[in-house]
Amino acid sequence: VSIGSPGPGRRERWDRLEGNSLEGDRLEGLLQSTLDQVEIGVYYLDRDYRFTFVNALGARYLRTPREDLLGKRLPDLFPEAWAGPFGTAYRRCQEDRATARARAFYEPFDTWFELTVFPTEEGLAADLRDVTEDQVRRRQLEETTERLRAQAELLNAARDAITLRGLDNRVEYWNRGAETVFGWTAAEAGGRSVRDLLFPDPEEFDRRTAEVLRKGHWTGDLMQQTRDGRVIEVDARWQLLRDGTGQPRAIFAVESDITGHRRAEEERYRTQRMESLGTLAGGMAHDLNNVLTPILMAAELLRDDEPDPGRRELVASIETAARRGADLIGRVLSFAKGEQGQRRVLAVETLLEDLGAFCREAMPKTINVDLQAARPLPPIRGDRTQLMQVLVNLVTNARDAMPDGGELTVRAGVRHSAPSAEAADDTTLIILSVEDSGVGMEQAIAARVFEPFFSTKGPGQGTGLGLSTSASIVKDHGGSLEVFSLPGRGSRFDILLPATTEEHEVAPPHARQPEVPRGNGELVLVADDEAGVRDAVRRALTAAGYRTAEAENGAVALVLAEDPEVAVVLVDMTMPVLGGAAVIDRLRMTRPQLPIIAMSGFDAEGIGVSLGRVGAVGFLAKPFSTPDLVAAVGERLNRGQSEVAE
Amino acid sequence: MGSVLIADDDAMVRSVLSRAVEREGHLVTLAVDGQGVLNRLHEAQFDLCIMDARMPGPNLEDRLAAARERGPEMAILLLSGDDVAPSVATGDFRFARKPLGLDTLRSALALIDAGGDAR
Repeated sequence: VSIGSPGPGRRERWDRLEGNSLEGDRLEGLLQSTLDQVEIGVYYLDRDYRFTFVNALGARYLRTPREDLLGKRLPDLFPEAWAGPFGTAYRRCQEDRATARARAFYEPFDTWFELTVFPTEEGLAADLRDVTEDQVRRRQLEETTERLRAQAELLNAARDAITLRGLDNRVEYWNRGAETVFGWTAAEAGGRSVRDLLFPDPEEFDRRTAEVLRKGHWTGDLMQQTRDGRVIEVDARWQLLRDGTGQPRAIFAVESDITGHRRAEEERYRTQRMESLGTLAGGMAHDLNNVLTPILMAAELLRDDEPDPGRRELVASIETAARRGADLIGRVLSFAKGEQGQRRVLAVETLLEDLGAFCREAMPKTINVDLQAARPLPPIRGDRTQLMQVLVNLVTNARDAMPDGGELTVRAGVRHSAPSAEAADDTTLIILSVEDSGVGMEQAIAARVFEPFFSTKGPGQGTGLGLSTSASIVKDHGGSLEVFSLPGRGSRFDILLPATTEEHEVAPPHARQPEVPRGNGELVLVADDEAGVRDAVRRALTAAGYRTAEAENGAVALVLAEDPEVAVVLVDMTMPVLGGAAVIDRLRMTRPQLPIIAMSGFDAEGIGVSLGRVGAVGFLAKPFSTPDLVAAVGERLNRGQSEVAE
Repeated sequence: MGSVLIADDDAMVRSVLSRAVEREGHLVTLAVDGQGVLNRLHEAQFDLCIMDARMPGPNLEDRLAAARERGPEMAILLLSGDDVAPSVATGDFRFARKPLGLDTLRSALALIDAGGDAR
């Protein structure tokens, strides 16, 4: 509108028109009515800021009748406006002779105005607009923007992966959680197809996507692939978004990585299963012992009566089977209870030494045994018997895995684990690995070997408890038992135990040797029905400087014990004809000072020897090592002598 | 010859135990539950009491206390299907894990003769 920017000399012209002609009046009226109709407040000021013209809307905006404005100075009428941003605009325009603009809230009228001031020859022309509504809209827009920004912030703060993809599967939005979960940054993922990017099984993705398009949403677990190639399990919630006309437009997805959670859940489930199995096994074991009692005892009674050797043998096999059953039940019970053994500081070398002794006796010649220990090895804190049980179990399994012979390698070493998320301190681990060159296992088998009652051995050959008990013993020691296996190549079991910085109570093996007292030709009576045991004991004791006499049953033992030269008696508790307990009772009466050592595969309490009542009897749990045997004999001899001396 | 009280709630166990004990030349009395043990102990004196740790009726503590009261000289062989002796205050007894063999039984019976000899 040219009127908005009047040309030079208008004032004079209007004066002229006003004063000089009817035509001028008509023109002014026309101008006035035209300007009154525009939706802008328009007014002119002279150089002294006096109103020279105001249109209708201008007067309304200024809330002052036109006649009260004309000829008055704006600074006088609106001092508050003059003092604020509007006044600045008028003055700047006047001074700079350039367009000036101000947008501000004018409190007296409770209104937002936008003022534009143009320089004219006679002063200023002002263009005033009420922008209150516009301002509200702007405020709303700002608030919306702010809210969106906050939401985006929230989306980014979420640990879940939140993504938006078009129907062409291309990424439109990718929050920070998605960057963390999948490893791709928003910039990398933007515009790429999630189908190619994240799904190792695109067919599953297609099925799920089709479901979202059909039903509007889909929830479930999915396997997805991260940037570094890991396959993770996610809990996914997909929602179809529609445009204004209801047409499908995009798919909004919220996905959480539940891989760790799922693993913990499986672990918890397995623990629960083990616990309930343990409880069940414990209850059953008790009942089974009751069932075995009449079987064992009746078999023994029958055998005693039976003159025919063939039939005696048959009955003896019932007895043996009942005892084996009882032994198995004992193992189930101790597994169910998860016995906590005695913890001592142990030199790992002594464990290996004992294991070496066991291997020499238990391994066939076709298996080459190689024991290697890094030195020095820090000590560990643990129960010697339990840890030996684990090692013996592992080497026995290794032997069974090599029916045609092979290499058995036992290594002891140190592993330093760097500080990790789980353990703040760096820890020193002792690693004991038992490796065989045997038949090996498929992955699926290896994954289950620590489950109770899982066995690859035939019926009657394994309890299915060896490895699960071993694993729980190692776990009780704060360590872990791991398996690595390849079919046809062999298996390796690693026992990882935390090293201790405590001093060991037991001296290292080379210093320990002289401490084991050697014999001086004393006669040791060995009563055991198993020839193998008698042989092993004889060899060990002879090597340690003793002489031995052997008895294959309790009755023979009692006869031989009449020899006054017998200095110590070793009695197996489970012998035919006259059992260990009976032998001990008789010996207590005939030779009360004679040192006795009871040997048994059961524990001391389980064999029915009430040590207090029968008198001082040593106890040696089978299987025992040579040093254990020699130490026990030496100790009993010394004690016996000191008692005699008293 | 001694007098032996055999107490077990399992009929098969009672039957075989009593046969084995009788064969060794002793006199057997039977009890099938905890209350039976208390009743038999009131009726007669025994040299040896072979008793299952877990039976219906009065608990083990009470049975052992009654046994000690009635027969201070009586030997006790406690049997259990569990692999450790039950922990009770009255500790003066032998313990044998089931299944027990004849040798264990005989060594308990030997206490009767030994006790006789000693007296």
